[in-house]
Amino acid sequence: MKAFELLRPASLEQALELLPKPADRERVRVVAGGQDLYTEMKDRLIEPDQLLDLKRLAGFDRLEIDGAGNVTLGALLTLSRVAEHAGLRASLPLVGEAALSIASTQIRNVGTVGGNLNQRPRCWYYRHPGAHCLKKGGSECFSKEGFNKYNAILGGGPSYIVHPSDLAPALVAAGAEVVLAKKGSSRTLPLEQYYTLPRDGDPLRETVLGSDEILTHVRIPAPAAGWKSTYLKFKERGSFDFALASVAAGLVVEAGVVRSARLVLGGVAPIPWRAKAAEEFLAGKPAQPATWREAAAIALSKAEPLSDNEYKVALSQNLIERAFTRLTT
Amino acid sequence: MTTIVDYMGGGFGAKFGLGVEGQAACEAALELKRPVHLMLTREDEFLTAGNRSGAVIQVRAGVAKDGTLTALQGEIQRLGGVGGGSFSGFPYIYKLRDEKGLHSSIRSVYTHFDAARAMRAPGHVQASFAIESALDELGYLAGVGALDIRKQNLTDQVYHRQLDRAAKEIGWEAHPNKLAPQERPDAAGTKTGIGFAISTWGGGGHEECRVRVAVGRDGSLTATVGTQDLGNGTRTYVAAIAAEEFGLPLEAATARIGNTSYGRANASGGSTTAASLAPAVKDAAFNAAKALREHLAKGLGRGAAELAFRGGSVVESSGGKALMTWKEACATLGSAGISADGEWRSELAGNGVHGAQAAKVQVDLSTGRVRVLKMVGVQDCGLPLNRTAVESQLNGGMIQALSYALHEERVLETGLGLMLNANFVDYKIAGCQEMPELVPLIDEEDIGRGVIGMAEPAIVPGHSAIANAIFNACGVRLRSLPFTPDKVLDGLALLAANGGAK
Ligand SMILES: Cc1cc2nc3c(=O)[nH]c(=O)nc-3n(C[C@H](O)[C@H](O)[C@H](O)COP(=O)(O)OP(=O)(O)OC[C@H]3O[C@@H](n4cnc5c(N)ncnc54)[C@H](O)[C@@H]3O)c2cc1C
Repeated sequence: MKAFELLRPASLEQALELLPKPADRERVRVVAGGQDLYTEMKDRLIEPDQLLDLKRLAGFDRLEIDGAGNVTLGALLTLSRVAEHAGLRASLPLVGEAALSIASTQIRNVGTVGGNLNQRPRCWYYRHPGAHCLKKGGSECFSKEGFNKYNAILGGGPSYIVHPSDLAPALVAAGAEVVLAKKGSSRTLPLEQYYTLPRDGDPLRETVLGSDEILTHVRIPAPAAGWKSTYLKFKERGSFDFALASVAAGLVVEAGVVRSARLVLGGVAPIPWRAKAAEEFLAGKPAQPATWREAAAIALSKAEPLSDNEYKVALSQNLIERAFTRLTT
Repeated sequence: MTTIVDYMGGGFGAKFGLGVEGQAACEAALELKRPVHLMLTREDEFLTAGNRSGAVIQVRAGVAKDGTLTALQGEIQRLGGVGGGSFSGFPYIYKLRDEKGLHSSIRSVYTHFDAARAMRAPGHVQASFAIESALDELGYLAGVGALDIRKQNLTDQVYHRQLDRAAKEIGWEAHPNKLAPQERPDAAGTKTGIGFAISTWGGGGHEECRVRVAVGRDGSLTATVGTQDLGNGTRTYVAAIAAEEFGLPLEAATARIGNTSYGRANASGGSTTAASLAPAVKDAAFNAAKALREHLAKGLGRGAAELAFRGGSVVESSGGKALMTWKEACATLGSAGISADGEWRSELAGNGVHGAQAAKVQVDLSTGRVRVLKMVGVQDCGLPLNRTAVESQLNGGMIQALSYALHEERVLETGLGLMLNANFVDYKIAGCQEMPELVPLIDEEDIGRGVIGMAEPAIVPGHSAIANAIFNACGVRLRSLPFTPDKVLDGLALLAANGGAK
């Protein structure tokens, strides 16, 4: 690992002062728990001169639920605390389930909400120091023609990464917003709009975060009355592993009829993949297995598998059916 | 040159020879005239410290109605990087009654990856998968079933005995789908299956080890030999054999090993250590006990044959009356104590073991996840030196086989010439959540054959049994390792497209 200077600002203002201009983006990196960043540095995928450690920022690790049920998650809140919070588990089970599904106990004890949402892709080619791929400024996404078992079946091209975060699909399904601060101002946007498809934005990045911005916290609106939710993740191995596919699902059912639904897929696209057509189809339909099956088919109807990942279509469909069944039985 | 290896975590095969990395460390030490500590990164470990041989095998076979193999053809390509790779014979263990029906060809395909070394039962694991998969498939086609097709083509009755025992322990008798995969899934959307496979290994010993057993005036008992403990209990049995000879508890003896200056020993490979070393320890201990008896007999005015060592005392060999304690006996020795050397004795070692394993798996039809519920391993090893260690070795073999059956794979990118997953996030290894119920059974019917190594055969058949269990559960025949959810789902989709059961 290349030697670096560690900057430890004591306030948000100080931190924002230290954030780089776009041209220096690679020189100065923000670090939270370091569970992703340090592995990138050890593999020499990035070689920053300065690390901006956020851990001294007061109040950045808060988890608050106000009287109305609105939730605030500070960027430095650990994944363990998200997973273990009883109030959150009661009102928004999918968020706690997603947090608990991440990595291992050790990593969850250190990894943070902000770090999880901003972690970099796990694509084999991106992670290999010897493969100069599109994501690292090369000209080619090797996974398109190469090994792509774990890559995207939706929204791919020109890069075919999948976004690795488990928290992201759950939070998108919960309608969360992120607050981004920069010197002198801040902006709030739906988490769904925080992530960008490689074909719409800069293929080197997965989000709209500016070089001079920090994600300070996440806000989740109070769920509607009767909203039930779950996060189902499928991984190849029982202990720490990333999702082959995952489903964040939410439903309001009244008198056996779906009033509203949320469906977001993880592990299948470069962003948390909101299945809007399926959500629209579900509204007003009877809450029964045939409905789930049809919704699952609609959600995957635009899938364009690569050579090794066609299995993700059936897998995602089956998980969607399973998730809605779990919510209604 | 002296090599010192006091403790080793586990030696599964990236060994034999110094390797470029060892050579570099030695040269650096000579040049600097200082000790050099060599530590490979995880990636180096995957790339330069020796790999496992791959194999691509094409099999054609035919059986008679009763399951007897009549024709068998194998085209084997070994993949050993810059080396030749390994493959241990075709057909593996099973025999054709008429050898005219057998044809096989073997060739090596060379790549620029590091050479395969003696890793995890080299050649056997590959050979097992080919024949066990083909035979299993034929068993269902011929309608004789997974167990009988095997017995039908095995003349050695030990395999019949071991397969029957594995079948009993895994619950084959009560298993509902013996002749075809499970028709309908259970309520949870899963199907359950059982599979079998067998193994063999040499594990014989040879003349190589020189062991010295010494008794000190202070009552100490030491067995010294320049072998090492790979993590499999060599240290324990070296001490135990010596202690037993003198009627002492294990704690009373010390094994001095892990240093080449302690005297010749065999190379730790091929599961030959126990059968090469144990007889030499026994011989040295026997000689030392004889010498001590002769010394004591003089002092006691008796014949040496009238004395025996039992329960920490010197006793009358007939009747067992205690004559003096161990400490008292040793105190009569001169300051040099007494010692004797021992060599390998062919009559104390055997050669050639069998082995049969069964696996029970559950396949989730929605996700393609294979969960191994139970594994049974039946293993002969001649005289078991340490039952706990033998059972542990059997468990270890089944666990490693499960791990590479379900997860492990070196992903080699041919276009870029890279190994894509040279780390322990992406090269997946089974963890505690994958562990099934494990039943290690020592087959003791042929205990009189002396000591035989049993380390590697334990790892040979597990993955084949799991593959066959997957077919027995859901009808998907997986022809390449590892058996990951994507392959199971692809297989189920193919079955559905061909009008098979869902
Ligand atoms: C073995 C292993 C298994 C894993 N399995 C999973 C899994 O199953 N599911 C899953 O979702 N994740 C998984 N991860 C990823 C892990 O969850 C993340 O690495 C962790 O959550 C990152 O949090 P952190 O605080 O350590 O982030 P850091 O490593 O400190 O930062 C990660 C990235 O986010 C940026 N960043 C951090 N905080 C902010 C902020 N406030 N504003 C802007 N940018 C910021 C950093 O600059 C960096 O680029 C796994 C990681 C490992 C090593």
